[in-house]
Amino acid sequence: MYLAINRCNDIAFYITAIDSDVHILGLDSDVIVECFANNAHKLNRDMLFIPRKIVTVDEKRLEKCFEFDKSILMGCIPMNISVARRLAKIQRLSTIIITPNSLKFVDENQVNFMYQSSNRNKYIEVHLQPFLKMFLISSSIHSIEKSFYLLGNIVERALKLDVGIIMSTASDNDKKLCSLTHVDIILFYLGFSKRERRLITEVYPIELLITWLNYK
Amino acid sequence: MSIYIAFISLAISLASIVIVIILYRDIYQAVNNLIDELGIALIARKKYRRIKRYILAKVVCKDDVDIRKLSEDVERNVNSLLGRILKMNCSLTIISFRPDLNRAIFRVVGDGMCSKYCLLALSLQHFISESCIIIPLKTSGLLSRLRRFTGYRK
Repeated sequence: MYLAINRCNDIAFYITAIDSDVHILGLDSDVIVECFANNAHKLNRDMLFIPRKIVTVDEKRLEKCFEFDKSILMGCIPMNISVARRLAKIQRLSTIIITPNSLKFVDENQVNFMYQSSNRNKYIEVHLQPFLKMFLISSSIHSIEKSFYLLGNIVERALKLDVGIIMSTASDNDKKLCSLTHVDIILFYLGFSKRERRLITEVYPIELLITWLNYK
Repeated sequence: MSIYIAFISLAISLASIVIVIILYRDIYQAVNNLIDELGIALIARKKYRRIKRYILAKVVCKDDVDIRKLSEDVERNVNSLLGRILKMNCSLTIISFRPDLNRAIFRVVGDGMCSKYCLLALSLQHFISESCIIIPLKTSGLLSRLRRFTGYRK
């Protein structure tokens, strides 16, 4: 679960109130410095900080995805089919992000392409919040039904070919958060079995974490 | 001689099974049409199965909230998400709330897909009006089983 929370009290509240096991919080670097630099023991939990950077890339700005330090787990949103294909080929560990805008570039063919490429350092990351916001804002550009149909197809294809896929619920509003159970229910609604949902919500995130820890 | 009779009877019974499988849909439709024509459809089969399910959920609120306000908020948000047509066959009501445990039990009444829709609507309802976050924990057909779960009962 990735949450965008910007107050230390809120972090403690959501960690204790929403879920009880493992949490993945998406926090701004300023919040981490403020809350965890001096009093990390306050929450009485083991913590692992994964530096992340998420960038939108097109053909002209492809280097942007790789100009940062290797310890940063990059997330790249391709805005072009050729960029999406090139991202799948590059050896460096990163995630290829699916949003309603990048859905037409990261499709089932992209999953096939990732399956055929030799390296296992690429993961598909689905940003759920923009999809869920479509329920509230009726947009003529994106159809809700079509977007969820395409998303379901991509997830199904990725699971079939054993290409790593993870769900992220990063939000810019601390009132509109999704817990792991909510993600599980959305996947259940899309028609995925218990085993498939476990793969998406538990197995692949852990695999990504282990890959990142071993990556140098 | 008797072995020939056995083979013939086996062949006839296999043929009859195959014919029944092939004509099953036609026979089913013909029987339904007959029931309709005789005007006993209301007795013979129901229009849709009305299923009752209970959902135990965790309620995460930043401020104190009473059952009346929670019920109104949730009902309004779920109605807005499901829409009026879907609500014709699907109803969701809060039947119990324990503020000390942050647990609530919802009753879902409707057709087979209703509980699936309601689970999704409950999960997304805080997106509508930024009210309490509801996290469904367990679904069951028996209220007593849910009350036993995680010590809901006092």
